[in-house]
Amino acid sequence: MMSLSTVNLLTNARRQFNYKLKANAGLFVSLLAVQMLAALLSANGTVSIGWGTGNSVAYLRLISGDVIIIFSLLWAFTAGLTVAANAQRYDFVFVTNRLSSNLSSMAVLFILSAGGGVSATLCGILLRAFLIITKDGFIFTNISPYVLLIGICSAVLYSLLFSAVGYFLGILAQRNKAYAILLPALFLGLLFVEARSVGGTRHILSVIHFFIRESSLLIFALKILLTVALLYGAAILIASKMEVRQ
Amino acid sequence: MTGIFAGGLIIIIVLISAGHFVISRIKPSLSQTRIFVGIYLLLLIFAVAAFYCLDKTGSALVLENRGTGENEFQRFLETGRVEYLKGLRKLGRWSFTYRGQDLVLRSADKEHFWTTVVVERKEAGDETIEVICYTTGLQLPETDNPPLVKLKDGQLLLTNPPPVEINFYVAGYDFTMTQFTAGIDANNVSHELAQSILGNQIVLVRLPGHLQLIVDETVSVVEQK
Repeated sequence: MMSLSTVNLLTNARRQFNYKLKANAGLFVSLLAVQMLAALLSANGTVSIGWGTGNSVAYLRLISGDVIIIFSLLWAFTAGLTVAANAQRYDFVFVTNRLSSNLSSMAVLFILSAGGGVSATLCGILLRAFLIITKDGFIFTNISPYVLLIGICSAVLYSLLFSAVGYFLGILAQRNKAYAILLPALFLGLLFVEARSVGGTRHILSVIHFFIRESSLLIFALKILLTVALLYGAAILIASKMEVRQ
Repeated sequence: MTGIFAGGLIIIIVLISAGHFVISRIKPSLSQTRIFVGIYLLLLIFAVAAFYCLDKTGSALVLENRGTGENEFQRFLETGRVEYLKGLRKLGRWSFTYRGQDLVLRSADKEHFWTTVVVERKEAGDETIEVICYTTGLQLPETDNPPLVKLKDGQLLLTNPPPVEINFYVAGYDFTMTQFTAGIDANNVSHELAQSILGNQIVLVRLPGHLQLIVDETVSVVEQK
């Protein structure tokens, strides 16, 4: 006797999400390693200036979580690439289609990005707390809980963007391996050309400024979410045109 | 500039490649991951609690709303009136009984005395010379470095404090915070901030009104108006 059960898209995507989250759990451990490494590199200050008065000299070292956040964003980017690369392997454990696979991968990346953004900001606080306890002559600006919350939200949004870019590039590279070489080459080539050109239009710089010069968190969130939606939409379209298994 | 840019790019590419390589090879079991992540989360939560507790107990100094005080110092230099200096702290106080008619003010080691000296005339001729050292800097053990003051053979001798090298650690905002708020970040750490921490030191000399003062070229004096 045979039975035929119909599985709807969301149920399927949820099952895949649970499976992929467990399968990619190692990414959290690599995040931890990346953040610890960045914290070690930041422990002596990211910026140092000297100032003298009379015969006394003061050296001022700025401690911030910038390096930790940048490393975490690079991790988010590579996590996007990894999830896109692993999706093929995990997809065929289930009866699935491209859409449910992409939806589950995106949900995994949302969770990873949220974890990455929150932990990156808090790891910066861990570094500050450690230095306050261990170093003499420590002075700090009062990072209020409100500012901390803004930092967390912003880091999560940046992580979402970087993981979405990584995922999009990962899917593109699956469609055609040539993209894996062509796209970074194109990106780097454009960057070099724009860095050398004076007075010309700087497209990549304009794109970067579009995000980093936004001072309203709400508009910034809208910009990021729209960009992420566009990237994932494009990834779904590209993936839907791919062979069943490559 | 292009070299720095290219170097930065190469570092980023190497980091991404290394990161991707490492990530693809780290495959701990789910239970191990839970333990690692759980411990890490606890550590982060503990760190946040510690950070805010340290803030409240004052184990470290808070720099918030601290101006450079340069305008006040300039105003003080013009008038010689210490009351224009905000946040003054006393570093040292000396008092000498002196019955002479004139007094020489000079640096003890013949080197230039770095600290600005303010001379204030007391209305009552009480035959005592008072010397008070103030600073506008933050209260840190290393910054409290007053000069030496001696009265010998009709000379008030001022010796520069021993040279000190102080290392400060300033916890600034992350770039994800400064983008939406105004705080101290890596790009706007300035000399004014360092100056604000170290502050300006002054030596106030309160003299009996009748005393004739002879100032040596090794000392810069501001007369109170």
